[in-house]
Amino acid sequence: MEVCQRCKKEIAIIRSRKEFFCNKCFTKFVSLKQRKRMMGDEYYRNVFKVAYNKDGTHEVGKVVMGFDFQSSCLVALDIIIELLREQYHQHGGRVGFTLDIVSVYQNNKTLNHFKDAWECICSSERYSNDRILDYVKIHFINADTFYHKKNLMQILVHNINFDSMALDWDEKYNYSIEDLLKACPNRNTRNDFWNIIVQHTVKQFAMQTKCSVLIWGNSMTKLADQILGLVIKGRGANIAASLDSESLDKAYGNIFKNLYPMKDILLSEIDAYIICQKMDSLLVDYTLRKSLIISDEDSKKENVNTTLIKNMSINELVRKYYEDMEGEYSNIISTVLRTGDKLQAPTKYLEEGTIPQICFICSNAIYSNPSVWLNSITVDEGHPIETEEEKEYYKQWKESKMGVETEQYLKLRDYIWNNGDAVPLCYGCTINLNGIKGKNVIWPRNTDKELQDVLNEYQINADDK
Amino acid sequence: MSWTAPIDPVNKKPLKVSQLCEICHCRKAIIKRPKNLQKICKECFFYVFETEIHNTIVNNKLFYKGERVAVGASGGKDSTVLCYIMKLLNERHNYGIDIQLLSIDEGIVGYRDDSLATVKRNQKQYGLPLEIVSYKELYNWTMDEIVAVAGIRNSCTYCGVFRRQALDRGAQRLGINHIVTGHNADDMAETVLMNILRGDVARLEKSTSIITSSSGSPIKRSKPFKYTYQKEIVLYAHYKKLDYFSTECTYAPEAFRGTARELMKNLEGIRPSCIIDIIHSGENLVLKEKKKRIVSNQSEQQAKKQFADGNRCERCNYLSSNKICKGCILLEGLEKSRASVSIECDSANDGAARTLRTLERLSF
Ligand code: SF4
Ligand SMILES: [Zn+2]
Ligand SMILES: [Zn+2]
Ligand SMILES: [Zn+2]
Ligand SMILES: [Zn+2]
Repeated sequence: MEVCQRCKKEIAIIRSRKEFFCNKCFTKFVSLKQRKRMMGDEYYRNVFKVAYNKDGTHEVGKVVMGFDFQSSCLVALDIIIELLREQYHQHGGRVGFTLDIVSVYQNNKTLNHFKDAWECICSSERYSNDRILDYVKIHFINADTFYHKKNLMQILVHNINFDSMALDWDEKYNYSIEDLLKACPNRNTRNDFWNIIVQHTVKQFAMQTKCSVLIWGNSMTKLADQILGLVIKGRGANIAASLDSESLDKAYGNIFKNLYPMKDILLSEIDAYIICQKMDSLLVDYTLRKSLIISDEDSKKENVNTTLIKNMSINELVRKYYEDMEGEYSNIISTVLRTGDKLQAPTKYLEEGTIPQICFICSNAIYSNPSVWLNSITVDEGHPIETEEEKEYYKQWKESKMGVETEQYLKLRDYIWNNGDAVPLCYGCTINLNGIKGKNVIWPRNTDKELQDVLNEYQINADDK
Repeated sequence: MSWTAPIDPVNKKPLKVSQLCEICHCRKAIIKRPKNLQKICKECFFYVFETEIHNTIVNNKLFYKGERVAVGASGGKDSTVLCYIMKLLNERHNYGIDIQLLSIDEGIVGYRDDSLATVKRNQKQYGLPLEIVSYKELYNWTMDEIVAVAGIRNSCTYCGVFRRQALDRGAQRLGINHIVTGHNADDMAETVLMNILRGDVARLEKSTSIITSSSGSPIKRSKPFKYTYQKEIVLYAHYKKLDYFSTECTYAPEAFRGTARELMKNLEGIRPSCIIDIIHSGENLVLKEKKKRIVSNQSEQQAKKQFADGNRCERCNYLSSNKICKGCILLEGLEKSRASVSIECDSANDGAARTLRTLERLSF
C-alpha cells in the first residue's frame, strides 16, 4: 500500500501525474487548480472576491456558467459552491458573486432529465444543509428559441465556386432544431451545429444578463479535443479565439470574458474527484472514468468507446486517440493545450486596415476567403462530351431523377444568386454545408436589434485599432 | 510519350444513370474521388488531377521560364507520377523549364537497389537525364551499415539528415537551384498533426509551406503535390499504367508517426476532406507575437555572433547554423561506434543489417 505523497500520512487511493494522493489531498489538489484560474488575474479576482466599497457596501460579481450536467460542470460547480460557502463564513454572510447556470435542452425528455438532476443536486446533503444554493440560480433554455420568432434565411453554397448566398426563407417561424439535425449527413456535422447553437444560446444569455464572467466547465482533456478537432475541421484560425480568456467577448458586445477554470485538470482527475467525493449519484447519463483509482485496477481497461469508428464525430475520434496514447505518450493532452495557447489569430491574411468578416453561422472571424482557397485547389469541370453515345447518356441523365435534383439545386442556386445577398461563411461551415444534401441550411438572420447594435459597435472598435 | 488507354469494357451493357460520372454525366464513373467522394469517369479524373496540379504550380508561381529543375526521383509512386506530370505539364502549358531527375541511393539492399532500377527505366521512358548521388560516395556509409551500428529505431533520423544534404549536393553538382519533391497532401497533413501533438512550435508555422529553403541556401524546394491526395496519386499511376516501385522501405517508420498516420486514416473514414481541411488549418496557424519576437531576436543575435556570413560547416562546408553541421555530428558518432562494433564482430555489411532487422522484429 502506498502512502499519500502530500500529507505523508493517509493511505493513497488515487494516482495521477505519477503522484500518489489520499482522498483529502487529491480533492485539495483539484480544487486549488480551479481556484487558481478563478483568482488568477485582476479582472477575475475583482469579480469573484468579496470587495468592499469605502462606505462599507460591497459589490457582487455576476457570473454565468454553461451547464451540461456532465462531470466537469458538476465538479466546477462543487468547487464554486465551496468558495461561496467559505466567503459566506469569512465575511459574515457576504459572498463575492452570484452564479446563474444555463442548461440548453433539445426536447422535453432532456429537460425532464435535467430538472430531475437539478432537484437531486438541490436536495443532496452536500448542498442542502445551508442556504448556499440561494446564490445559484438555474435556467433551462429550449434550444428551439434559436429559431423562434426570428427571420430565417436559407444559406446556400455554390457547387462550383464555393461562394455562399442567402435569401429570406418563406416558411418563416416554422423551422426547428430537429429539422436542422435531420438534414445533417453525419454525426460530426450534427454535433458541430448543435455545439454552435448551444454556445450561441449560452452567450446570448450571458450578454442579456450583463454578467462579467462566463464560465465553461471544459476540462483540459476536452479543450485538447477541441483544439485538435478545430485543426482537423479546417478551423485552425479560430483556435486562439476559442481559448481566449483574456479579452472581452467581442462578438457578444464586449460585456463578459470567457473563463475555463478546469483548464489545468484532466477529465480523468475530474472523474476521480467525483468518486472521491461520492458525487456520482448526481450525474446524468454519464460513465465515470475510474482509471486513476488505485484499488480499481480491473476497471483500467473499461470505458473503451464501443462506437464504430465510422459513426464517431471528429472530436470523439480525437478523444479515442488520446485515450489510446495515454500509456505511452502520457502528456500529449497538455502538450496540445500548450501549443494551442501559443497561437494567435492569423491576421496576416487580412488586408491592411480591414477587420475580419464574421461567419453567419458560427460567428467566428474569417481571416481568408474559403471560396477563393477551395477554388484554387479544386477543379470541378471535366473532359468534354465527345461521342454520340456520350451525348445520349448525358440526355438520359438530364431527364432522370438525379438530373432533376441537380436541376432543382441549380434553379434554386440561380434564384438565390439573382435575388439574395452574400453571406460570408468560414471555411469550416462552408465544408459542412457542402456535405449537406442540397448544400443549404436554414439559419436565423440576426435582426435581433441588440445583437446588431453589438455588431456595429464591434466593427467600430476593431476599426479604431 | 505514349500510354495505353485502359481497356474498354468488352461486353457493353447499357449504363444506368446512377453509374454515370458526376462531372460530365456522360461516361461511366470508375473512381470515387477521395478528396470529395465525387464519382467520376477516367477522362474527367485525368483532367481534374492534372489541372489541379497545374493550378497549384501557377497560383504559387513555382517556376519561371528557363528555370532548371531537379525532380527528386525515388522510383516510388509519388515521385514517378511527379516525373510524368512535370514533363506532361511542362509540354502542355509551356512552362519552359528544363527537367532533370535526381536520385539518392541510400544503400538499402532489397529496397533502394530495386527502386533505382525503376528510376532508370523511368529515365528512358521519359527521356530525361538522371543523376544519382549515393550516401556511400558522400559519407562513406550506406544506410544498411548505419543501421547495423546505430540500430533500426534511429534509421530515419540519420536517413533524413543525410538525404537533405545529399539532395542539395546533387543539385549543386548539376548546377540546379530548385528541387521538386513528391510530398503530397497526406504527408503534409500528417506533419501538421505531428507538430501539434508534439508541440513542435518551431516547425508549426512552416509545416505547410509549398516552397522552402534553408536560410542562406541558394537551393529551394517545392511541393507541387501539396494539395494532391496520395490515393489519387496511386489511382493516377494505376490508370496511366506508370512503372513504379511499390515496396516500402525495409526500415520501419518512426513509431509516433505511425500513430498519427493511423489517426489520419480513421479521420479520413469519417470526413474525406479532412486532409485538405488540416492543410487549410496548417496555413492559418500563427504563433503569438511576443514569443516569436524573442525567438527571432535570439536567433538573429546568435547568427550575428557566430557567423558573419556564409554559415558553413567547418568540416564539410555544408550550410549550417552551427560550427559543425548535423550530418557531420551524426557521422562522428557513427565512426566512433564503427570502431567499437568492428572489434566485437566484423559486420559492417548489409547482411548484418538484415540480421539485426530480423532480430529486432523477433524481439518485439
Ligand atoms: S523510411 Fe527511413 S530509413 Fe527508409 S528511406 Fe525513408 S527515411 Fe530512410
Ligand atoms: Zn494526503
Ligand atoms: Zn463558420
Ligand atoms: Zn466524366
Ligand atoms: Zn558538415
